[in-house]
Amino acid sequence: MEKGNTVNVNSKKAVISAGDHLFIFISPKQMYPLKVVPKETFQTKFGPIKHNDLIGVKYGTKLNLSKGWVYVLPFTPELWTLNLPHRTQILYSTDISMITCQLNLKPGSVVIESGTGSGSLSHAIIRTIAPDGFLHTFDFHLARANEARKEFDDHGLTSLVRVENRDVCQDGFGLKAIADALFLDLPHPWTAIPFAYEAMKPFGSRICCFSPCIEQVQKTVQALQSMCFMDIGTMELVSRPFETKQMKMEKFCFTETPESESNTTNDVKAVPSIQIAGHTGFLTFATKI
Amino acid sequence: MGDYVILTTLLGKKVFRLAKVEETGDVYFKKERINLKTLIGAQYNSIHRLDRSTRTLKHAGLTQEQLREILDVSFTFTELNVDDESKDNRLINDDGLAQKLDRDDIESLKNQGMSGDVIIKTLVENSNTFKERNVFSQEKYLKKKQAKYSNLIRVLKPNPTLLTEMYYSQGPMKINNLRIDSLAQMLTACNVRSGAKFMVVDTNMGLLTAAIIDRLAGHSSMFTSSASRDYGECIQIYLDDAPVSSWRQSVDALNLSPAVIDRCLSAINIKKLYKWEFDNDTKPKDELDTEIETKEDITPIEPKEVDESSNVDEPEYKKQRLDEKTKRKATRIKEENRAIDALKNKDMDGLLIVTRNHDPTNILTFLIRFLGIAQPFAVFSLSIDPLISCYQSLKGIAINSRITETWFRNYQVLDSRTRPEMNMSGSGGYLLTGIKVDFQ
Ligand SMILES: C[S@@+](CC[C@H](N)C(=O)[O-])C[C@H]1O[C@@H](n2cnc3c(N)ncnc32)[C@H](O)[C@@H]1O
Repeated sequence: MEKGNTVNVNSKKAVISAGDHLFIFISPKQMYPLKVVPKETFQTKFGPIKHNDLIGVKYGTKLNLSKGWVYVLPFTPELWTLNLPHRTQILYSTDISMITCQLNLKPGSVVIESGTGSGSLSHAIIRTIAPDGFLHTFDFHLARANEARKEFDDHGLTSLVRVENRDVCQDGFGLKAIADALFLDLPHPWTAIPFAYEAMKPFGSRICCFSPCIEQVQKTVQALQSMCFMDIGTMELVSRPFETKQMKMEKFCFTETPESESNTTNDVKAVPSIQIAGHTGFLTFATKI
Repeated sequence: MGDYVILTTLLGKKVFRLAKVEETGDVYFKKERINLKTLIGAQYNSIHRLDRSTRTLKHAGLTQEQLREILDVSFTFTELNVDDESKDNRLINDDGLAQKLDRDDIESLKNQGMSGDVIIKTLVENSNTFKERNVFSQEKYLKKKQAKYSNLIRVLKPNPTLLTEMYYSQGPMKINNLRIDSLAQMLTACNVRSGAKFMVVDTNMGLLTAAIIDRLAGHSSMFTSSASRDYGECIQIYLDDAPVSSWRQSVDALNLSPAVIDRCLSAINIKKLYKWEFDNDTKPKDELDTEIETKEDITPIEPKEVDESSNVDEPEYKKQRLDEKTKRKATRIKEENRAIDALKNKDMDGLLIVTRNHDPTNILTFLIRFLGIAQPFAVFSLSIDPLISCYQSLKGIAINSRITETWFRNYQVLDSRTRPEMNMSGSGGYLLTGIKVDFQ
């Protein structure tokens, strides 16, 4: 079968083999990432899964365990984002989708990112710029940079990404006019804007800064203006999930006489979830010309 | 030459115009007639000055100083009041038993100078320009300025995001209110990436198709080195008997070489696919293929020509038209065969549906059979109801099915006047996403 490169080659892989990264799906809120290592066993609430039993099985298969069943799903950056080990706050797919679009990421794009954090966004970037793009990602926290590097390596992505331990606010990126897109998720993104400008290609490359607080946005926008970035725009996205429910509703009866059974409807309705994540951060985009 | 560009204003309200760069033929932009031939060889994202006497665009060659003046940037980066919060957590480990820094450590950290951060005094406070004018004179000033520079035009490179913004600004219903954030969610939900195979039902100027093609081919069309790589496939599945004339408008606007498009884009009529799937279950596959090629009666009708009524009826012209028709038919048949070829293994990597006049439910339940096990799908709808019926139809076919919408708003960011914009879009439509699985 195909070797390496978990993020991109799955399309050609219908069958699980040793070394694969996959997800054990119990329910939308209960999934577990798993690397297939022969002879190992993975415990779930529905009973143990022997890794050896996974090898040769088709992705998407319903796996019967001693106390229930699970599904085996292939690796995608979106499932990874939902299930990765958190070393920092991370970005989620709603924002990531918009970032990918607004930065015009596509195969061949050269991208710069800081901080690497837990690599949630990095995986999505790499998926989109593969097979001939490249990601330079920076984090000033040594352990996080190392951890991320190990993870990319494990996922077979080394040819698409380079992790550097560096303070980009003080020392910049050490790169000149090479980036089609640049992304900052840092406490003080504005201090890195001149370095960002230097690292970006002229004539239309894009920058995005993600910040939870409006004061940060304000400073970032001023810094972008001061460097003559164009198309500066700030936006916010919130994903609103719906729950689909069978809802029984009785028709009110004004008279005492009981009527036919058509008095209750029992339809599936989509009800907006009541408790949701309300705020992640503001996204500020701009173009270098 | 022959490339598409998007013209937009430098100042004032954004106006977009998609135009083709040609030797002859003018385009209208903000009521001005312009010939674009001088753009041949120009840089994308450059600023041009409209010469009203020759009706052509000349590279404006603005200096950084001029640009500053035009954009009203009254401060440089070093004049910004960048505050120096030197505490950060780079030396704190995440392992839970993080070592506690004692006071001396912290002191020495501080001294070692996170001072590198730029520390400066404030900007606008002591600038006597823009901010001090009152609101009324500010407006007047801006108007004057916009008028003064109305001949400055930006020439942008079309991309799916920009095209979405452009069409959306011309009226959201032009693209079925497929707002950029919804389109963005569809692409990630379906893990759209190079080398994979996607089915798309798209009734929006080919916008979704273009977005997929962009992520299959990417920058690569510019480099010969990647000529051999497998971009993957995008199969456009159209519901009308013949594709509507705008079905690939956005794809064309991407300026990809025909060779690239040829390798990753094909199309088939959904009824034809349905017929193929159900009429021929028992026949061997290759026999089928030839049959489809020869079966004239089910070939889609050509799209109606708009200029049908025009006067010319020289035989030369007619012959040309006929030739074109045959050529188009041949292309269509070629594309159909390609589509069937890709679909017949029923292992497509993603399914994306946006319909305008049709309930997506049975379209989804039909097309999902061509999707590989464990692969994702996304359905967009202007209202939520059709998605509920889609959702119900998926029992026993899919897991992780979710209906969502995104709430999306833009912000005005100005010194001391930062707030959400007054107007916002009330809805960007609804999405159903999920993953097909193998039950039994
Ligand atoms: C919120 S996390 C980024 C999360 C990431 N976007 C993700 O999706 O996983 C912020 C990261 O930036 C790093 N960081 C903060 N300031 C930095 C600087 N000046 N230079 C480099 N990295 C920095 C932090 O160590 C942290 O790991």
